[in-house]
Amino acid sequence: MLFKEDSRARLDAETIRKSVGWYRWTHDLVEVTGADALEVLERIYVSNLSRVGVGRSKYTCMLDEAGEIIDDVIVMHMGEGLYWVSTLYGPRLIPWIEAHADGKDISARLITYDWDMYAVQGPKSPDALEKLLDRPPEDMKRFSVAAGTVGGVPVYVHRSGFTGENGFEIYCAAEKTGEIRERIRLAVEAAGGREIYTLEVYVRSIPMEKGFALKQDFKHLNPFECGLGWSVDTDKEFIGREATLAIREKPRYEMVGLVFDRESTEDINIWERVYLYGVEVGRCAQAIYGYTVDKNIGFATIRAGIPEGTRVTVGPNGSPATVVSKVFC
Amino acid sequence: MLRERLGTAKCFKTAWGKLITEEEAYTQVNRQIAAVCANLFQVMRIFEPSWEKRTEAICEIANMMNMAVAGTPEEQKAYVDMSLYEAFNIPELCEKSSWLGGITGDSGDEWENMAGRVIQFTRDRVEKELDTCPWDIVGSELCNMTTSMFTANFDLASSKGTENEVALNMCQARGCGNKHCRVVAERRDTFGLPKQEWLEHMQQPVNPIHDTPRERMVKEGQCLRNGQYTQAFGEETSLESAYHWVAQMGWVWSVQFPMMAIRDMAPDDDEFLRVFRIVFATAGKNQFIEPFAKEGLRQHLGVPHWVDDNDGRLLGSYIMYMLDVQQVPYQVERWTEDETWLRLKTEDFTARYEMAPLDELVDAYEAQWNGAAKTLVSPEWSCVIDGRDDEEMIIKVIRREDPRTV
Repeated sequence: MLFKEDSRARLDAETIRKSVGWYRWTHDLVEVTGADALEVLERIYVSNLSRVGVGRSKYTCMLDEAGEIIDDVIVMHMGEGLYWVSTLYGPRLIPWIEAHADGKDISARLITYDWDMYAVQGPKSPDALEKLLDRPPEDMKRFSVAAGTVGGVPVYVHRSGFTGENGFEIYCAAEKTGEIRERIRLAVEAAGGREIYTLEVYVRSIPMEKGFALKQDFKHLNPFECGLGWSVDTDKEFIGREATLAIREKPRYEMVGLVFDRESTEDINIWERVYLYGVEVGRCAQAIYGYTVDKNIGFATIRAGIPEGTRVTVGPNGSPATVVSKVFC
Repeated sequence: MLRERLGTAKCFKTAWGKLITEEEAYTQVNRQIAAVCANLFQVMRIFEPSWEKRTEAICEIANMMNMAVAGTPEEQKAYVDMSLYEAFNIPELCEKSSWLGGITGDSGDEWENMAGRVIQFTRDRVEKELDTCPWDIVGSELCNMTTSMFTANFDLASSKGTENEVALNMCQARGCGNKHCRVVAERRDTFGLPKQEWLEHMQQPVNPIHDTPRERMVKEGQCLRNGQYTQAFGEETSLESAYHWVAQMGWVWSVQFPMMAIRDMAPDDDEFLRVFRIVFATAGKNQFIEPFAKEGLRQHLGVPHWVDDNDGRLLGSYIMYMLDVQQVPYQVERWTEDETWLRLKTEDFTARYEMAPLDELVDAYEAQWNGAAKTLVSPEWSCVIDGRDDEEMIIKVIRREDPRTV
């Protein structure tokens, strides 16, 4: 829970928005290899991954047969027949891949404990990267991944992030993490930035302001119900396609933003009920304070067809809120 | 078009046919375990007059047992990787350290309908605030005891073996009359704090607390409000799972753990049981002493008007209700105006959590229900439990004359 008076959290948020901040951001990482790796991944994920060349990455979703999102990930194409999947649910992803391998030449293993990852995020992140890397890659596009070195230590640099700002993610071998961590600290400080301390700022508040959700926010939703329809390639086969096509025609729910009237939201926990004229119309995935917008904001899954501007109440004490776009700034 | 059938909801039927919802039963089981705990703590106060001594003793045992359930000392060191991350789905982006113990604590609170919120969750400081606690009737010793259990949570989450890095204080407690319960863990190295002894865990934290105003306090935990508990990283527990967990573990931490220390406070086992039964018998007699308490029970269970005030089935149906609420299976063997017999597996009654049998529950409930018989029905009636040493036992509500009744 974040409050507007929390000066440290506010400083963390401002650092990411106006300067550059760094934090350890190690996700579960699954390495997928094999001659048929692409074919199986294409079946598992909704996006067209055949267009993702070596050195590029793509944000995409994994659905069940009912068309509901069960994970959202970044797939990085690291080499021919070699993919890294960044997820928060690695131990659950591997059995899912195996269950759908269908005798194909593919293997998946958890490499989370081999690779640590640090996020360097904010408008000044290119300056920090310049100072950090021995030889910074030229013209790195968004969603590209490149090998580099930091003080002679091999790393991978992924131009991506979960902040809505310019940013990079640095992967290093776990045994080198202490050395890389220190070099990142120095480079970011030299660029005018600092370490970010508040988990809820970089996991929740900062991403939510830009409309970035966590997998748990997508519960029971199809990509076409939560603004991720752009990621779906309906021309290819994937698990949950049939249900997805039906939902695209007639969405059941919609993921929206909420702006709360009250100065704090202590009575709103995860998955609290949302009411319209006292009738339950959905659930609030989470509420949090956004330091850029200076408001209490939240994501909600509500009945489809409730327009922006609608006044609703949330939780047991009828906390008033307005339905808005889920991208707050 | 007319509806073809009615909707369904989970519930059980009382002996008189009234439906008790899952939510109502879950609320009741929490409060019932707390009531047994409150009676037990009265026994403790009789045997050990020193608040400090008795509090320290239950803190010690609760901490030790909480560590023990996490396995051998080697398994305890690996708990953060083996259990905490798996059971609570704490993602790798979190730095492994004591502060993650806050997740365990928050889960336990919400599963037991202790309604509140995590105010702050950072590497340096965790603050948890509760608006309600079903155990708020027990008293300050239990509030202290919970700090020793939190210490175990933080020890098990530590990145340095099993010694946590925090100063942990329950700076407010509902059981001490405060508006909120509040536990704050602050890193000792960051805040310059010393390591604490058992009786030093109810101090004020270094950083100011956040006091939720009354208008934004909540009355029920997430399981009742939302049908599930969701922790910070999205892991969910249904009301059904939380209820079943409480029906097992609620007895373990709040009754069995302190019981081990309290038995040691008595001069011997016989004296312990003598006082123990007296306290529970008194609680039972007082339970229905007011006419409106009897009337309230009749309404709650749906007792029909033709059942008169001197019918033992009043108590029989109350016991059946309590067993249902506590998820203890039983069979009705006799159900007449002269007697109620309920047959059940002894182990189902005593070992709610299989690993931790609690034989004293037979004494506790026999004494309490026998006491309740006198006021809920009449002094002609008694409750006895036969066969406690056998595989099956029978709870009997019967008429009994006894010139030495207590």
